[in-house]
Amino acid sequence: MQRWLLLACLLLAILAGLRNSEAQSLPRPEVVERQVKAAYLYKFGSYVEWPERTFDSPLSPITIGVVAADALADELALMVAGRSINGHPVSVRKLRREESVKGLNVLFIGHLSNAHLADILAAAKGQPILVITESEAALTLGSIINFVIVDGKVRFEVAPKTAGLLNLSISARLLAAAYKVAAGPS
Amino acid sequence: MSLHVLRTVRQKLLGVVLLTTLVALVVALAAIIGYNLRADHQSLVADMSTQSELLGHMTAPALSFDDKKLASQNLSLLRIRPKVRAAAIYNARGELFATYGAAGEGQQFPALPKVDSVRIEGRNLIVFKRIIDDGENLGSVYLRADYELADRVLDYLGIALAVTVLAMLVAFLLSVRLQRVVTEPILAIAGIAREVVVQRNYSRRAEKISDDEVGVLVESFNDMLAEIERRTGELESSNREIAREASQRKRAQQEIMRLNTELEIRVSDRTAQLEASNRELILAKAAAENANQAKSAFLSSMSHELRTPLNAILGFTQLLASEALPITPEKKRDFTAYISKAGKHLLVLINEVLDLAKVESGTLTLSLEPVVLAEVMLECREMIEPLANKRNIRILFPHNDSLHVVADRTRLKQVLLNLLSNAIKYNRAGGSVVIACTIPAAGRVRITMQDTGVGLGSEQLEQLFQPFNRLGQETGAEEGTGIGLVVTKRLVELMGGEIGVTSTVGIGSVFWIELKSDATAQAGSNIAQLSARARIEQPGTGQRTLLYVEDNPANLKLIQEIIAFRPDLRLLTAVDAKLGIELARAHQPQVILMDINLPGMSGNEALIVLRNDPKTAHIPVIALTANAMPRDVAKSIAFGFFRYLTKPINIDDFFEALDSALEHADNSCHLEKEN
Repeated sequence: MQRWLLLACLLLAILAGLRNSEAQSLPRPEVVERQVKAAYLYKFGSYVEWPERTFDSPLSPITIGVVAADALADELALMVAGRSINGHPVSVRKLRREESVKGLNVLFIGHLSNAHLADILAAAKGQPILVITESEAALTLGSIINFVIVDGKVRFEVAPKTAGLLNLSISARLLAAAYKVAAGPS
Repeated sequence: MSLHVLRTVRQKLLGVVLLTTLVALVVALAAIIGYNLRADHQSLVADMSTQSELLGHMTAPALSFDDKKLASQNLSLLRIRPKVRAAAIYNARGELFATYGAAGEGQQFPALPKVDSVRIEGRNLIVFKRIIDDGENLGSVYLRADYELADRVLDYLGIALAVTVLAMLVAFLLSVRLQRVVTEPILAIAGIAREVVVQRNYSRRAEKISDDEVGVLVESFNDMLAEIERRTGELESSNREIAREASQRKRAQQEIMRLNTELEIRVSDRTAQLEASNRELILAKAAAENANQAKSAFLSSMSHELRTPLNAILGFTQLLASEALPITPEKKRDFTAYISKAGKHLLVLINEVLDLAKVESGTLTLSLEPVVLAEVMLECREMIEPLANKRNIRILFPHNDSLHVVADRTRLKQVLLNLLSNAIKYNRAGGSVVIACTIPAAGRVRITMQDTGVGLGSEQLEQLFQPFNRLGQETGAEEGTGIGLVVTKRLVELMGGEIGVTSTVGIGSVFWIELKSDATAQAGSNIAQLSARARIEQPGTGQRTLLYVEDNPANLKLIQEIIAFRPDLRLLTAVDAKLGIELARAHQPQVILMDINLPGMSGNEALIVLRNDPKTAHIPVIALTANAMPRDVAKSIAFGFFRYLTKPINIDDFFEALDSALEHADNSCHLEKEN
């Protein structure tokens, strides 16, 4: 296990080095933003507790579904390979808009129109899925975490009450790191 | 501080207590301090570790979501922990992510994080802690805190010092108060011991205060004192004994020295006596030599003296015998007168020599009896006056005639005549001789004869009574033998008297003799009266024979005179015992009067002879003697004397005894006849 971890770190370091060099050579902000968001997606899992019986066993994977952000999904898939969240292995699924969200634990919805966004959110409503979006006012539509760009940096806002309705427990530490904590769904 | 420096038990005890307390305190405090420091250290380390852990945990989201602001906020929470001077967060890439510095603390942080560690650098505690979240290394926490252990140490030391001082003070006070329990009994013993040593009083005893080891010490000390007391007593008594023995020895030594001194004195006395006797011996020897020389001189003198008259006698005899010479009858008368005178002189000479020989040989016997001095003087006067008249010398005799002396009458007369003739012969022409009788002391009579001769010198006086000296008269005109005074002196001494002379040259000499006086000096004067009475009582019967054995002529004369008054008695006399015995056998006297002190055979021996002879055995014998000692009387009575009469004779007693003896003789005579 440690060896694997070591290996992953090494890999990560190489990738980072590659990326740095890439960034230096190719200063593309959208790529950096995508990478950061992918990393955040992975890390959010550590600060969230799902309701009991969500996982059949401690080794049941946490499934992250990605809608409307295939590049990011790819990036995420690379990142989580070999990693785990609280002991659970992580799997990434690319989804289409109309595709069922059932069985997902985390759902990332890329930049969509509010109508589409609402549909998807409605489909996911009532299910213990940590919904993460990157659209303005998404929290009001039922998203739990929403990426925002502040001063050129990727930040996020959180709606813990929405999560609470879904029996999802969000760590206070995540709240402390959030750019904004929303009062709740309107 | 060393315990040896302390002098008293009290100080030592105090020292022990304080030292022990100090050690205990130091050890305890050191342990406590050590423990506390370790606990502090551990607590600080744990605190900081926890802090870093917490910080890491808290900062994990900030790292995860690259939120430096959040990390800085988290770090700034450390301001409520002033101990933490600085803190920093490093990200997974080792870059400084967020920092915190307390007020006034330099913003210096290590460039790179280090592995997990807690270490102390100077006064700082530095903690590195990796932030692991969900198995992922997110970064590191760096904490720098004040490490105050040194201050703590100082604080602890200060507290320890204060506690130590306080504890020592309390211990000191307690010890001072409580040590008396221990020291007092010991000090009591020490005090007693010192008193014992100073006063030498071993009868002191320490009081037992406690039952602990000190109590045992007290008992042992008391036992020891008792032992010492006993031994001291023994020692003193033996010392006294030794002193007593020494004094005894000293006394004995002094006694020995005293005896030695006495011995020396006695030896010196003896030596002195020996020397004195030696001197006397030398003197006696000289005297003997002198006497010997005088004797030789006397012999030649005697030869001369004897030859001189013999020469005259023989010469004149030859003249008378010669028929060839024409001798006239006148001449014949002259010649015979010379011969007669020379013969008389020769006779005197021979008598004196014989007397001297008797005196010197001790064979001269004296019959001492009371003598009437006046009678003797009268006889001497008759004999000496013709000589005095011839020489025209006046003699004065004394007139007191009541004096009696104890002497031999004949020898007393001889003595007086010798002295008187000397006084006349060596007197000056027309001189005088004075005779005096005095009583110098009770029982003594002194007769002095003072002449008016030339006197004698002191040397002559010394030799006066030496035999054979004629005091320069050897060639003088006066004829003499030179032995008259010697004989005189011997006679006086034999009669119990003394003789002496005092003389002054040119004036004259005084010769004196001293004799015992007779206490019962009435005998002489009684004679006449009693004689008269006896004559009256004379019975006139037939004559009877009386034998008197007596050597003293005076006594014989007296008895003859007494018996003369009894015409009925015929008196026979004998001068010694042998003659008396012969006469008794021959004449068969009726009574025998016997003197005891007879020359040759004594009266007692004669009585035995008479008693053993049948011819004389019946004759009563009356002892008539001067022996008046009761022992002698008893002895003589035992020999068988009829009576025992003592001189001087009491005439009444004498006649009574005589008559009684005669009657006894008559009775025995009648018995014989009847038989």
